[in-house]
Amino acid sequence: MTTSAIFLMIAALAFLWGGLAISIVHLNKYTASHAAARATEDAVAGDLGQD
Amino acid sequence: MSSTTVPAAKSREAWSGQAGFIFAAIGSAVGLGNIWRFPGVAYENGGGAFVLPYLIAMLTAGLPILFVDYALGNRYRGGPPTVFRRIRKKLEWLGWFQTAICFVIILYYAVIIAWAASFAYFSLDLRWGEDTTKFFTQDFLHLTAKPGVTVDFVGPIVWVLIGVWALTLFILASGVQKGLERSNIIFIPLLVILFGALVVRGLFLPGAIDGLNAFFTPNWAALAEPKVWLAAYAHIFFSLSIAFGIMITYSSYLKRRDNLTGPGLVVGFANSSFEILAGIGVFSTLGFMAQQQGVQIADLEGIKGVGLSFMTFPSIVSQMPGGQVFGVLFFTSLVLAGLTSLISLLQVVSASFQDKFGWTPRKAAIIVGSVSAIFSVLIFARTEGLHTLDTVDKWVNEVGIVGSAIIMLAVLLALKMLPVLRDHLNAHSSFKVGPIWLGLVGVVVPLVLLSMFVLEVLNVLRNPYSGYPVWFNALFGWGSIGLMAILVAIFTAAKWRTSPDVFKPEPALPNERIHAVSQHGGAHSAPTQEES
Repeated sequence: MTTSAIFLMIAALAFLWGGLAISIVHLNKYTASHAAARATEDAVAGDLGQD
Repeated sequence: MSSTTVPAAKSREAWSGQAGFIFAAIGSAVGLGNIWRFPGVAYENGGGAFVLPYLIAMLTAGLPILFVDYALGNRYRGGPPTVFRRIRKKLEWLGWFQTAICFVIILYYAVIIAWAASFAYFSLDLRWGEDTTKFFTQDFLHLTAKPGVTVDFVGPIVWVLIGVWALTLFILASGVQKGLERSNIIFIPLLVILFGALVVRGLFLPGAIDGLNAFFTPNWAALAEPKVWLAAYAHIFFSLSIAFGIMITYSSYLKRRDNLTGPGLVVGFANSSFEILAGIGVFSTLGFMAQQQGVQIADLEGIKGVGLSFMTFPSIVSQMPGGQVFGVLFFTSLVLAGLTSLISLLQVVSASFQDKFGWTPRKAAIIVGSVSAIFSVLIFARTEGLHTLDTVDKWVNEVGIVGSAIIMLAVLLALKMLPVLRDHLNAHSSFKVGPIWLGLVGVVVPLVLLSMFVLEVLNVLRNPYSGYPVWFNALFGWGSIGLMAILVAIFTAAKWRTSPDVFKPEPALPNERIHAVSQHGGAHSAPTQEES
């Protein structure tokens, strides 16, 4: 493979799969840190997803 | 509409949690196009250099419009007709237009899944023989030489198609949690495992490096061509299933205070990650084929779409050791990717009818699914089904979906709704959007879409698509758009059996004017804050 082809393949994979990994980690951290507050809000509001 | 004759809307179904929504949204985004369209589009538009406009298109158009869809569905809580009616009563037709787009796509999408299921079975004994093109077009499809209108049905396709519809109806009738969510939680990991195995096998084939070289070697001069950038924006737009109701419907099943942008980023990156994986798998395999035939990759024909899947790949499967397993992996991957997208398309139509006529999910699935199945068989299981499919697909995607997106963004701009959607996204989401997002969805994306739309309409008017007769393109191409217009008129005029106007969006936001929030069901325009 040419050097530029190898570079582009690695860069694309790193950006996309790295972006996916970071977005999952970020989402999990956010969800965990807001879980307690969210449970309280839901209990107060009775939000079960309905209109 | 009288408030005394229509009952209040029933409780809306909901995802069991964030993961269920994410799997379903990925299932919708990752479809046939990821496997058979992206690699060919990338190769034809600069190879490795295409990665740059593709990533820019994802970040500047794909994700921003995905967030628009999420905000619309989650704030106004319904299928597309309900959502747009709740913004302005006169906009209900736009929701039905998006629903009609999904309905038409469903009709031919199911047929492709039926073909893929048949070929997964054929892989076991390599039934296509030496001449895969002849097998697909003549022995399998019984394709007519010239496009026309026949009433000759292909028996084996009809039966497999009925099986696909039976499975789809079963999933849809089982509801959001037990049907959509559960099927996606099974199908998506299975798809990744099967396709991952296929990619690994492809990488170890002789000639695979040549294929990857062809796919990733950049032609930087291509970046100076506007058509390459338009191809990138067009591809990401179709790939993410945005602006025609699917993500609006799916996000309406999230709870009101759910995180929207965080899961959106996961869905967007997962979709593109799978596409790059598909590019590697497909081109490493094409490299093997080129080496076997002693030609260059550039000399190969059928490197995308139906040709890639049902003519080129069977030929490759026949040439490689252990090809049967490879064939089963490839065609089963197509079935899974297609099925999860088909379910999402059908859910849009089902949800629109549930909302308007107060039907249960099961009743909507049975009625909508049965009608779709009948039309699907009648139109696309005939001997000239491939010609019809090709034409309808072209018009629905490049005129219907792009037109729908332009109108949707124009309406949101004209009604000054974008700041409202921004505030809704930022109220509970992990990733905040701001002026850049407003600029992208308010200026950049509409301009790009408008360019795509004008160029494509001019193209199909000047050049008969795919060499088909003008009357054929008019009947099935413009005819599809005409059919959608008729469906829009009928269902917009139909009487609501529920009360979509008894609704108040949350959280209350300043400067939001929506249609009708009277608790008595009366329709009028009033600022939300005055109601609260």
